[in-house]
Amino acid sequence: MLLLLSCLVGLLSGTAIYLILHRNLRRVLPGALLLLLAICLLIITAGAPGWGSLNNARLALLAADPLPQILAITALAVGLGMVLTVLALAWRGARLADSDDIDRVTTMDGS
Amino acid sequence: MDNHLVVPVLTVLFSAVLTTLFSRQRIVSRWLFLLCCLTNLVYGAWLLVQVVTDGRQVLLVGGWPASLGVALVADRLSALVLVLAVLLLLAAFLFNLTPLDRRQHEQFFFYPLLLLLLLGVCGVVLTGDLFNLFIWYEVQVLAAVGLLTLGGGRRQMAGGLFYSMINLLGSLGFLAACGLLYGLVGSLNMALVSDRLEAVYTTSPELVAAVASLLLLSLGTRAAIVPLSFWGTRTLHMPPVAVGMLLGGILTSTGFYGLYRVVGLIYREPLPVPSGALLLLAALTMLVGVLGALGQSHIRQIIAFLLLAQAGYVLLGLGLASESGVAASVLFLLHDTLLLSALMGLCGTVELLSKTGDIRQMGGVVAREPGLALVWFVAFVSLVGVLPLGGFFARLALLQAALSVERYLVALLVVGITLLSLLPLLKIWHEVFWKELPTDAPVPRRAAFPHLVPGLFLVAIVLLSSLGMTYVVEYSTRAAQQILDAPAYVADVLGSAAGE
Repeated sequence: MLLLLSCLVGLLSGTAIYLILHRNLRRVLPGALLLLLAICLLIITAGAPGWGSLNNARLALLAADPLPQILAITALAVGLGMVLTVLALAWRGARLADSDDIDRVTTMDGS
Repeated sequence: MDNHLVVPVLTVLFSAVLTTLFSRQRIVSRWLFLLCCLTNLVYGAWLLVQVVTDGRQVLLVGGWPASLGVALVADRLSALVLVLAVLLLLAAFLFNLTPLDRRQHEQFFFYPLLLLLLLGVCGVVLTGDLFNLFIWYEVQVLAAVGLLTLGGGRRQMAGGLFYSMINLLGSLGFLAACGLLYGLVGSLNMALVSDRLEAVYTTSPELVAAVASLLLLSLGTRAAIVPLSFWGTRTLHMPPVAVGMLLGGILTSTGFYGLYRVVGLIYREPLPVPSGALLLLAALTMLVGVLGALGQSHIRQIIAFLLLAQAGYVLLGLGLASESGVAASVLFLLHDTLLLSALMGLCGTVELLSKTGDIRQMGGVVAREPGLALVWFVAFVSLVGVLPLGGFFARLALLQAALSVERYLVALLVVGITLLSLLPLLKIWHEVFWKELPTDAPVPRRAAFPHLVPGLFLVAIVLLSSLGMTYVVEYSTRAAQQILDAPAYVADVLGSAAGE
């Protein structure tokens, strides 16, 4: 199961990096979103089961460690906020520049 | 338990909410902002004294043990960065009071955004937990994006998008490092991580090294280290001057705060600090900064490139990985951030007076505004290391640190880059201050004394600190000792729980 999840993380982040390296904002932004999802999955996969956070040793054997899940959901919330902010900026920038080519949107000549 | 550590976070958060409510009333939000900054300046000064007399201040929030709750920790470095950030905010506030530009940005939640930026700084420098650090960095990034896009024109969107995209990647890297680190040691409390990492290192050294370098890479993005550094040089000359002058300084100094923590707590024995790689990156950053500055013709963009070169110096001190190196780098961070922000503000004043940012279209400032030229000149000679001024001591300390560990190439680099960084500043001096005003340039406006005040304020602080250099050097040396002494950090944080 761990192996499967790890492969999934690799696949997701590989796809994400492939997308981020494109020039078009419409590919870069889904790439960033995908990278965020890959990292949330990574946090859950990397967390060892039943370690540390539960003080009760018997419970720790039965239950999963809740902390990576909390980290993942917090990361998801914060990261989604960031991605949405970038999306809003990109949308406005692309409209103002009349192009979704990332170089055209982020370089400025004139005002 | 030191409950006072929640004061900055709470006061700034509360004031940010209040200024949002009163964002239509300029006068009220100005006073609220000023009150909040002064409160935090006083608190910061008190904290400086407190960490000197009393040592590290620790608060385990809610009384939870360190493995479950979030710890707030303040030491010499935290207090220094906090005070530095508040001083920069005050300078930007002073700049905003001088009616040079039309200050349209004040109606777009300007003060709430500044306070949220300060909230991010307070959180970053006080937290003792890596995940919490990530959250505070995000607070900072969001406030910075808001400030960079004030006005919402095409220039602002271009800068804001560039900055937020790079920082999004930086945050995601940091997040991945947090996740992996939790899997390795079972906690994200910095003290516990530092404590348990040694045992993990003996079983799987390559995993620890990979996670630590991921941390370095993502924090390097925030501190403007070369491969991912161009968010500063591409954006800082685009927003209003008041924003540009504080953003570079605040963002890089908090980025470096994170780097100091990682180098001090995670790269402890037996994990070696990647000294060679850090020095190489620092050298690249310095070269790109200085040579890039030579190639620019926008006055504030030149300073933005010099800010990059300064980040290289600070990293160079850190890369020496010796106590004297880190001490020199803290000294550097303090002085050059103040000086470059002062230069950024003064150059912005010149830009607004000349009605253009292109240095080829400027000229004759010495003849028209001798006072402005004088303040600029003092900041300039201090930055290139002329003897009685602050910048000299920072460079000397770095040089000594490099020589004491027998890194002669590094010493050569420090001297060489300092000489090279004369060139872009001399270019500004010649083009903007010395030469005649070109005939086709727009007719410049005249400056009044209030326009000098923000630059003068920052330069005066540097001059004051040059007078008390003995104390400043001693402070930074002790700060470096605290940064590098991981066992003491662990004992202080974990011991405070046992003491309850």
